[in-house]
Amino acid sequence: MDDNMENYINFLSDDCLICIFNKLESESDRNAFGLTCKNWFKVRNIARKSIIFHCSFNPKVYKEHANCLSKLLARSPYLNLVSLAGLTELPDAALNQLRISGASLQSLSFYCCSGITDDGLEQVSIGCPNLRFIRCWIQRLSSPTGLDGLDRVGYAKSLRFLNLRMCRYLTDDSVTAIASGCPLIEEWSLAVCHGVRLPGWSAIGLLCNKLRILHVNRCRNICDQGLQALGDGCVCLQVLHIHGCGKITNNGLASFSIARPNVKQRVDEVMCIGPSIEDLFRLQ
Amino acid sequence: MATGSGAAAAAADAEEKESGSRMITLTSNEGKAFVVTEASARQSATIRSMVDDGGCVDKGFPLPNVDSKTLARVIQYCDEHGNKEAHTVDERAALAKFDKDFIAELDADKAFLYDVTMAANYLHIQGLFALTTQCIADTIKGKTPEEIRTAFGIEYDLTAQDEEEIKEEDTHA
Repeated sequence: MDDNMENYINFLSDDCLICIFNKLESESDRNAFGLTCKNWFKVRNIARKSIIFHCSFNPKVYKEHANCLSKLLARSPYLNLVSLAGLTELPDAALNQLRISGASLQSLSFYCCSGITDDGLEQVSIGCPNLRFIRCWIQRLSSPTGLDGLDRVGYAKSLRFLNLRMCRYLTDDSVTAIASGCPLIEEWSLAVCHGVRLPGWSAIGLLCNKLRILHVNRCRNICDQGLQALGDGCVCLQVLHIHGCGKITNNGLASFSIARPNVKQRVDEVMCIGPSIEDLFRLQ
Repeated sequence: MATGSGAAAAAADAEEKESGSRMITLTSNEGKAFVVTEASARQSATIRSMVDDGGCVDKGFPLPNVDSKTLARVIQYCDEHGNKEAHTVDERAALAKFDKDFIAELDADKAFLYDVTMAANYLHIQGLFALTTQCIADTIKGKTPEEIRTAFGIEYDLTAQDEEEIKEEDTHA
């Protein structure tokens, strides 16, 4: 036994080491764990559940982020949550690495990542079949067709929560593609999406049969007819966040209230939707 | 005991509820047999599912991954947690004290601690596994990578370049 004493921790299998790693709460302990040896570094990567790059408002930092992101993604095969902010030069190739986490990835968030193209988004949506939550604030994806490219979200068939607040250029076509591609969607924020007009609202009313909560705050192009289309469909709707929609008349709103008395109307505009991150992990 | 005979099938169900009446044999990889109560053996989810599936209770369970020394220690834990009641505050406190002494003794012999951890993982003894992994995690806490390597006798096999890269990633992610 004495001969082996030198390397006795090697007797612990990777699943034991993962368990031990998960009991380390502080960031510094986790980092120290990864710097111990090659095997422990590997274990730390396997145990990594989330990658979050915060906003830093410093272009140099963003460049560094983009550089190390693909490596990080390639090494971490079991990510639940990826949140990227401000990576303006993020190439699609980095997004393709997300497919390594494919089955485990549940939550994805982009904030001002203008380098992403519709193709990249498509790869992620197809490659991660259990994606339940997407938060996307992108003015316009780089799409050769000149469209907004967000229609590709429609490939994420398990999607439950979609936050497209402030996607001003979102088109009706994309809304329709998402509504028909994501039948399980439960909560959808389209606040400040000025590009959505009657065809988009009609598609949501017709196709989103599981939708419980919808946000249309400050949408310039939702009119009484659009609201009626929502009320005629969306059989499961419980809450409608509606405020500051210039084209909706008092009569239109009253008609909706009469037709759907059980739908609660709220005026507050929320930035974050869906279950809290903690709940998302618990769902698993 | 009444198990084994076909007629006892129905009786066995009733007996399940007061498990502890049956005895179960666990055999280490050195061929040494340990006879334990069913209540004790049921601490292990692996054995529990085999017993519930009506598996080879009479023949006993060979455990090719566990040596005698480790198995004896694991059984000590299972006996304490399986055979004793822990309903009152006093009983629970006694059990907590047992755990504390048990892990303190193991911690003094790291190689043995890892053997017990591996066995607890293999046998799916949740309480014991939580106890030993927590103990190892506590050893890691607050240490530098260098100190961790010393504490666990780990060979340093990262290149300077690896280390640089990892550190850079850590500052961002």
